[in-house]
Amino acid sequence: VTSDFIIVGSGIAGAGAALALADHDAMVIDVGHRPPPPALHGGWPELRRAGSDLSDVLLGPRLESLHNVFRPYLSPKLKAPLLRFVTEGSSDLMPLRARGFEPVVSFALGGLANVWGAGLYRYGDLDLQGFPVGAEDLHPHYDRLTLEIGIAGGDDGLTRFFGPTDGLLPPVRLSPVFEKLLQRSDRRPSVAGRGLFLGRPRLGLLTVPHGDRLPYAYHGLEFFQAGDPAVYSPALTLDRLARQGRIRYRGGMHVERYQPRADGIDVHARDLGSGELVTFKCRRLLLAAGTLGTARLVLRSHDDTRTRLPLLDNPVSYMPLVDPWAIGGAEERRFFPGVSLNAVFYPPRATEPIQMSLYGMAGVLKSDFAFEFPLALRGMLAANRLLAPALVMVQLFYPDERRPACHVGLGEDQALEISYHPPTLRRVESDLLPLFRRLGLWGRRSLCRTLPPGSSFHYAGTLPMTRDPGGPYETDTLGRPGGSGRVHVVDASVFPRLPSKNHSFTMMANAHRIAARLAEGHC
Amino acid sequence: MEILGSSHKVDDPVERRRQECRRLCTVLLGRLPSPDLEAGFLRAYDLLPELASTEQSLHRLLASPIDLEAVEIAWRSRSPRNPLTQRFQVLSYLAEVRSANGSFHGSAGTGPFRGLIILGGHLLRTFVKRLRGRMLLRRAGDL
Repeated sequence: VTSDFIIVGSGIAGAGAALALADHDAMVIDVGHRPPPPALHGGWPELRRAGSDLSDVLLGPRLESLHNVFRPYLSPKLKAPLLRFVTEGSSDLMPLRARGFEPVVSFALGGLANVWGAGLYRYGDLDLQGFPVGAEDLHPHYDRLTLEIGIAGGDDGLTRFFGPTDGLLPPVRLSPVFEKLLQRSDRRPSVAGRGLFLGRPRLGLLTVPHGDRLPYAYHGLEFFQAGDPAVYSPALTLDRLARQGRIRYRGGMHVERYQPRADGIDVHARDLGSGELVTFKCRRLLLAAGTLGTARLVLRSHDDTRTRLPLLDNPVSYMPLVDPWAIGGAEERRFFPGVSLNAVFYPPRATEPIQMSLYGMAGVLKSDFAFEFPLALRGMLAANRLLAPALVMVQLFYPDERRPACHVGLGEDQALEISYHPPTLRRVESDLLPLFRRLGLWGRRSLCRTLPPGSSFHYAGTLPMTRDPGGPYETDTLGRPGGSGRVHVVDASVFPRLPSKNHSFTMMANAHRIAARLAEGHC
Repeated sequence: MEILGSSHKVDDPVERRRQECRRLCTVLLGRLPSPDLEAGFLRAYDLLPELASTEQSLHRLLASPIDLEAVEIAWRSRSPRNPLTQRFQVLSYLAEVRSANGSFHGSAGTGPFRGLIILGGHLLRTFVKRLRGRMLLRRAGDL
């Protein structure tokens, strides 16, 4: 089977590359597990009241969703039975040994974007420090992808951090606690004066019709099932392009290695249905298998079990806050359970800001967090009902830089070996609590939680992009390992550092940038 | 384990687990479990080996008339993933996804002032329960 271009992987980077290479004889090769059909219909609050037994759907026939009661923490989305397809088969297809790191790998169509928060943020020049490309290089690609995805957002206090608002859809409707928080933030400029800015998120979520996709119905089911076309997934772009005959998509194939030839690349993939090894040929190969998947593929293709590649991951922590005026309020009937607001904080004497996502707790099972309340059982149940409308969960992402103690390599048995030591952070939670208090939100440092490394799903940096690649595992601005050849790494592997800001949109824009250059025949 | 008092021995494991479910449910929700919740709890024992592995060590505690809510909060403060709290968590999940469970769903609708007073009352009650639980745990010693 031959193609001009082969893209390995169907996540956010694969979709970005495929969009740029549509109509250019491109094929996407992917394992491509698909979500089960939706089992929940209607709004989350009504479903819970309907009197039916939702045990199998919400907890799973084998009670899989009780994972966190007995085992290490797993995101509520990943433990939901209808979202298990996202990590299905990953331990067989990509054996891992990890020390100090809890990696999550996806072989689903759309990858980890099936369980993302749909946050899409442009990197500015400050975020791109250390990258060999600047914001100007990425802007046209952000613009093109904004049209493709349909991004909701607003023009507010965060516009200067999130970039132009051209092409944005109207912002997502907020629940009262967040609406009031935003109003208070506007009324109290002293908080911004101390470095804390609040605003509406940029989300891949339709608030108005977009192409043939309908707007979001605020059913609040994103923590339990995937597949609502109102929430962007890379699968939407890939399915559409394949349906229109503008790319080819080969699912059920696991790429094991590639081999450069004089006239192109041989790509060896295992057909997961028949078990046969199939060889594809292409002129150029684009690797978008995710940072860990791409690292393994590159190392296997080099038969290299000695090299250790750098690994980046955003350390992530949670800070629960309460709006006392919302205690005992009415339960939300229609809401979006993902990010409601963003905050950006400039810590004193820091060189770059910390970005935060603010969530409500209406869209998850209350049992997921009930036992975190420092109350006896009956008080805990009362707190569930009284505090649920007043709770704001602040998720903080810290930046990460290349460090010798954090690396990934290939074992003799072809398993990926990961070693990660959390960085020594200058934590900002104590600085933030008094500022949020000025905005009417109360919290305690002792209730803040740091998640284990790997929980962010923001992995990057294994094949860093530089102007002058030194050796076979640094890439140039076109993602080419060693700076030449026909293989292009287009996912977050090429990020030389991870700022605090969510990297999904930049990953997609960078993949689109590289693929657009290839489509123009610039190499 | 004198504080645990005497408990009549139940040999049938299914019956023992049924009694355990009733005891836990009464403490957590203030009422006996519905038949489907009880069946779900028994099934959880089959599916979650972690429950069965700590069953013996908790048997006397769960069969005794001790203040289980006090023991739980004291134990949770010391060790958040103890087997007693884990049982309550399992039951909490099972109850939350079944039927129109008033203990979990719906808004309190009290407004902030009454809500704060209720929470304040629970904080006070928790303080007392924790003290009592610590004392019970000290006396039990070998939990």
